Amino acid sequence: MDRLDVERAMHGDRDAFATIVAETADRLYRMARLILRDGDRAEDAVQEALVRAWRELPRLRDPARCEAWLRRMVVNACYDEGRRVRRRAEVSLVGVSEIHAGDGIGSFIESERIAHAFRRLPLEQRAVLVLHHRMGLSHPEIAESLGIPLGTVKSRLRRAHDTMRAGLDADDRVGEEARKWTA
Amino acid sequence: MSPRDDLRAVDGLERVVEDWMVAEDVAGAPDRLYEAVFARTSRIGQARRRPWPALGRSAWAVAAVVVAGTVAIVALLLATGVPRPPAVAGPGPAATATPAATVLPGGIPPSATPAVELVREPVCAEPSALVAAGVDAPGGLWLTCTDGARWVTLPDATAVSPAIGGVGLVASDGADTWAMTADGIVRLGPPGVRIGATVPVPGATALAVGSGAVWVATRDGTLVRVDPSTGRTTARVAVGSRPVAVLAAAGSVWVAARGDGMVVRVDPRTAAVIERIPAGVGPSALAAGAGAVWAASPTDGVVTRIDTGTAAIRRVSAPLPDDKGGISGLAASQEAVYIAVRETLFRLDPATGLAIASVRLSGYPAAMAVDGRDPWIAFERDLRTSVGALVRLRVP
Repeated sequence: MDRLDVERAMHGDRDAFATIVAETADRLYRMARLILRDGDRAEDAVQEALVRAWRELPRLRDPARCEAWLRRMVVNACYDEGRRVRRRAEVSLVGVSEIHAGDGIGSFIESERIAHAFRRLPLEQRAVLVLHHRMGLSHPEIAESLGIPLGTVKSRLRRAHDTMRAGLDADDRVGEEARKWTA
Repeated sequence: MSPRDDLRAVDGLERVVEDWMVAEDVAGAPDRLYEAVFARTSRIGQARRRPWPALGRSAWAVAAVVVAGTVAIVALLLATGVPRPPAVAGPGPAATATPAATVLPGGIPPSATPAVELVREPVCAEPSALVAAGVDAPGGLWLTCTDGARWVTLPDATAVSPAIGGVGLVASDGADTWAMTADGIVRLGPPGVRIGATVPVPGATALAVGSGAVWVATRDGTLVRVDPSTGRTTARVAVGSRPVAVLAAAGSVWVAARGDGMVVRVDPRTAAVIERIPAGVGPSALAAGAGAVWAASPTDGVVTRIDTGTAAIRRVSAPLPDDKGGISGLAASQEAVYIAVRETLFRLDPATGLAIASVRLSGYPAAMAVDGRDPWIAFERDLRTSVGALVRLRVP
């Protein structure tokens, strides 16, 4: 991201802001989509965060850290959106169209198991997993992006791994029981 | 090695999660996201720029010299016994300058002391909505969690019904109660059972009950009128982009069109739009109380008071932190109006919308409602106990 664009946008240049959005919106949307597990809601969260970013840009302290600041905006918008989403009755339904023709049913089931365990994580733990495992950020970079202490990043990541593993193990036990009954 | 075997090692789990995320991460941002951002930002300005980051080193040096000089002159005058001007009776501590980030619309800084908790009951880990059932004589609250909705008795929450699975946000006019499901709406009856089959309303985002109908907003920007006795759709009206909240109050139906920055007033009889009222960047919460309809726009912290008698509109701004979420809750009754900004709760003057009291909360409010005068707040899970809490406060 060009520092000059950031500085211009901080002084109200809409074209410079458009350049920033064009460069970052795709990455931010993908991050939000993984955290929220829903394309429409991710769109809402990124839209809300970017509108807020435009408004708050003059208060950005360090233009060099603009992308981390935008990430924080989007993650916070994901938290808000996640709370709002829960007002609907969320039922886990997998449409037939989501099963890709080339996928084996085994890999599909495996993917659904992981998705199920991931969905059960609190949004805060989902966010650190996505920033670490998908966006490849280091612990200090995650701390900066989320505005939390380094120790909190590490403990949150550890808890997320523990919860994912416990969820997948529990699914395994349920699967074993089901296989016994259907054998 | 199968993914299942991998899980036994931390590295294995990380690889499984990374592979899964790569497979899931297939779609980029849609074009309409860019268009919506530019359309919305073109309607709003930027926040006021702080002066100090723009100052260069030389300006700081000049400022330091000026300050030092002033201090020296004052010290000299005091030391030489220059008579002081007579003390003027002032407004006291309230006149003290307060940092802008903590000043309320009414000029009241957050209190350091917490409000009195009248009730605290453990509830689900992730509450998401709280609705007082009945405007004038609430007998209970509907609490929505990830596993469904519960009926909570007032005034002390001593009885909580089992969760009604598969239902989300609940709306009630005191006599008739409906809830959202994954694919439509369904009628509920205290103490908490489904009545009848689900009425399909695809893409429902919010609902309200009033004026003899159930009103459902949908993702395509439509408000749908449903006849509660037959379940049939009797009218549809386009209300604007991203309708996220609906309210039936004062003889009208009100919709928060978040994408347009408008509160849309609809005539319940004709199902026609009466007026569109600007209400901040993205109004997303509505409440009725004290002769007005209230709208909160979390992104820019604008609270809009629409007088339902005179149609007068008043907007006030809540203080927002720089990069965090904004207003996190809005609730109103005939006696009191509250907004939450992160972990601070503000009581507003119902006549003006200005803040008259504030208290620091014990956590992040997930949902709010007002029972007469007192606010009820549902808090998300405590990290140590993994249990949420339903709290009734008495705000001084």
